[in-house]
Amino acid sequence: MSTPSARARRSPGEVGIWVFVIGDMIVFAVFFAVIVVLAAEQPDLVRESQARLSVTSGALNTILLLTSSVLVALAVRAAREPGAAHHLRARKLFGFALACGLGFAVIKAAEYGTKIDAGLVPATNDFFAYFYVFTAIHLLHVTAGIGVLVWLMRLSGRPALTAKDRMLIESGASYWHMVDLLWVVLFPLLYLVN
Amino acid sequence: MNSRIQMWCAWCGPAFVAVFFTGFIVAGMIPPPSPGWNAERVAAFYQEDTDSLRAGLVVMMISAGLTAPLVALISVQLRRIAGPDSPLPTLQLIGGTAGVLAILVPMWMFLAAAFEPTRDPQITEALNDLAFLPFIGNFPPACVQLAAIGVAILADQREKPILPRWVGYYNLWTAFLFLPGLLVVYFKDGAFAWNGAVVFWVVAVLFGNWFIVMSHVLRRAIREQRAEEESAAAGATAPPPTSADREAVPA
Amino acid sequence: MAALLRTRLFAVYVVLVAATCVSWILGADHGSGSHTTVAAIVLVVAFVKVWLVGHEFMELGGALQPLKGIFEAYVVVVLAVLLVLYNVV
Repeated sequence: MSTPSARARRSPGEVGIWVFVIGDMIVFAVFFAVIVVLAAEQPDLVRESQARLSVTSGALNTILLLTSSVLVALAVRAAREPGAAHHLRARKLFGFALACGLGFAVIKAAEYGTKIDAGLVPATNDFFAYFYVFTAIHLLHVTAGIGVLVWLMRLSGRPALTAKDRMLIESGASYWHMVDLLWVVLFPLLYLVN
Repeated sequence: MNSRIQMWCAWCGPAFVAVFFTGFIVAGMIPPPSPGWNAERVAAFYQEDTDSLRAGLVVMMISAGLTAPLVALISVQLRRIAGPDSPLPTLQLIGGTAGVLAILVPMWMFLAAAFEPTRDPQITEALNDLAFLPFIGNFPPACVQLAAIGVAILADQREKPILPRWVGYYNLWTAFLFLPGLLVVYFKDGAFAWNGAVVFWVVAVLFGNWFIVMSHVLRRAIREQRAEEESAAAGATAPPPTSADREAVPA
Repeated sequence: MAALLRTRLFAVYVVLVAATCVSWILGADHGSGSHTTVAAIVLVVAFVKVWLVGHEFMELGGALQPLKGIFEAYVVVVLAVLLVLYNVV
């Protein structure tokens, strides 16, 4: 794993985290299919319901997660460099990513609040049932990811990082990228495709 | 001797999957009757092929017992991993014990519905609901059990962990995906109903898969434990074996 | 900061945000054009974004097999299945 030739081509993070990440992506693929089947079977219901969603908050949230993802990718690279200065920079980048994650949660909560005030609840119709459940499951992933980012901030700020520390940082980062990646598909499926 | 008993316990995992799903199919419950059916339709389901239904349910009830040995084995191996004063093996045992009941109790309710299928359809429907809601939606025991296993494995600081770390992630992931089970209470059709894509089909696959995967990784851990003990016993008289020797001990 | 803006990661990020905006405008523009065509474009764009996030941010582009292969198969298979389910093809 640590030989120079292996360094060029290797799997980021520990193997185990990929069981979680790929597994989760496969289960979300089932969620995606469920949404598409609803859109194909009841196009009018989906169209009318989507018209009542705020595409702006969905799109803003997409941009927030993409931003946090690139910050995490930059942080992982900074943490690979030797020296305390790079590690402090990694910690700062993880901190900015964390702020984006929190921003996502705040926008999502505000969106739920507006929809509920407008009388749109999970019981309204099949579309809103799926909307609330799938976004809530995703939000649960975001919440767990916020915890992961806090942990990555603590881990990466150390002046000296061991190979194991770097592997854990890559593992946590991979999880956060997955949270981003799942939203990248959920957003168009729920807000745009009809 | 214990190693052989442990092996038998491990094989109860795949045995459970075979027996449980055979019963499920014989009972005619795959795919499950829809929660959207009215009382008459539910009653008709119980009247149609009552003998197969009862036979399948009895087989499923028996299969509940097969989960217990695997749970006991996981506790033994988790004790090795986490040490005597960790609550995690006990937590696993509590979750796994409740898991036996999570299969057993709904079977009794299904059997009560099938016991007198010509009774008032409203009563049959209520019994059917009473059985299906906990059967598909009872996620806390499994989540507690799998979270305990996941945390114990990931906290293992050994150079070569007793159970591989991916098994820890695998357990946490599976626990996470059992959570949507709570949605059965709210849905009569679609992906989150008790016959839906997410709550039934995804969870059924994950559930069966878990017993196969755990059995497989535990059997390997048992073989390694046996090899370690044998080399430790040999070490009392012979010079300590190298790691290559340890690998060479027959399983 | 200037050095940051020249990195490959930043370029990928700009592409991702631009793609999001394209989908946003296309999807928000209800009524015009064929729904099926718009849906297909939006789905394809989404999975190109998924591939970029995986390939660049997750560093799966340089990952060992079978991980890289699994990820790429995921992108292709899931997109194809969704398009079929949506009766686009």
